[in-house]
Amino acid sequence: MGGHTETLQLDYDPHQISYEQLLKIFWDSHNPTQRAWSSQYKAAIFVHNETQRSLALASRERLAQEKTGRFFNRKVHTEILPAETFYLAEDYHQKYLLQHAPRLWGDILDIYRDPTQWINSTAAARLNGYVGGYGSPAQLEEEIGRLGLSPARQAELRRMVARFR
Amino acid sequence: MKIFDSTQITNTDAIPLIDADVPTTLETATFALG
Repeated sequence: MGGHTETLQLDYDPHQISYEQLLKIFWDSHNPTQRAWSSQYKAAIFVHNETQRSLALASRERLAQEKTGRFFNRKVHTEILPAETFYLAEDYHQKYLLQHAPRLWGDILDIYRDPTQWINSTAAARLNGYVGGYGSPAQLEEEIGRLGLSPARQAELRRMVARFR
Repeated sequence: MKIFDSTQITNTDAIPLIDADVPTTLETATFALG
């Protein structure tokens, strides 16, 4: 495929997290002053509606106006573009870190045989984050009973998350 | 919008509660991190 940009797309509950909060995470997660090497690896916000466009533009403007910090006096290259066709990456790219935690992954495959199911699974997304070192032991404890893991795999995940602390 | 249909999964005894409870009012966001 040519002319595409590698993206991540997420479906979120606006009662749990706002688009503004997602924008903050996005700006904190990349260097917007770095010029893109290629269309495939550029930084961009793909907006799905006018509200997102306004919020995204305002957030970029705030960043550009900052008078201190690591981006001060540097051009922001991150683009804001309309969201168009989104193509799912191949299955082996999805929930990548979780797929490389074989026993946890086995529990997920026991439940979801069809890749579409585990690609859309919130539980699989949460587990992928924990395996990658995102999330605290306290957060895990709050929801571990709702993630669909067997007791043995729950214990394994607790040990993994504890090691990241 | 409901992106996850927990009635279609294989092992219904093991449905993660977090997936069985997906709200119907999800929104979509798309980002490229460079």
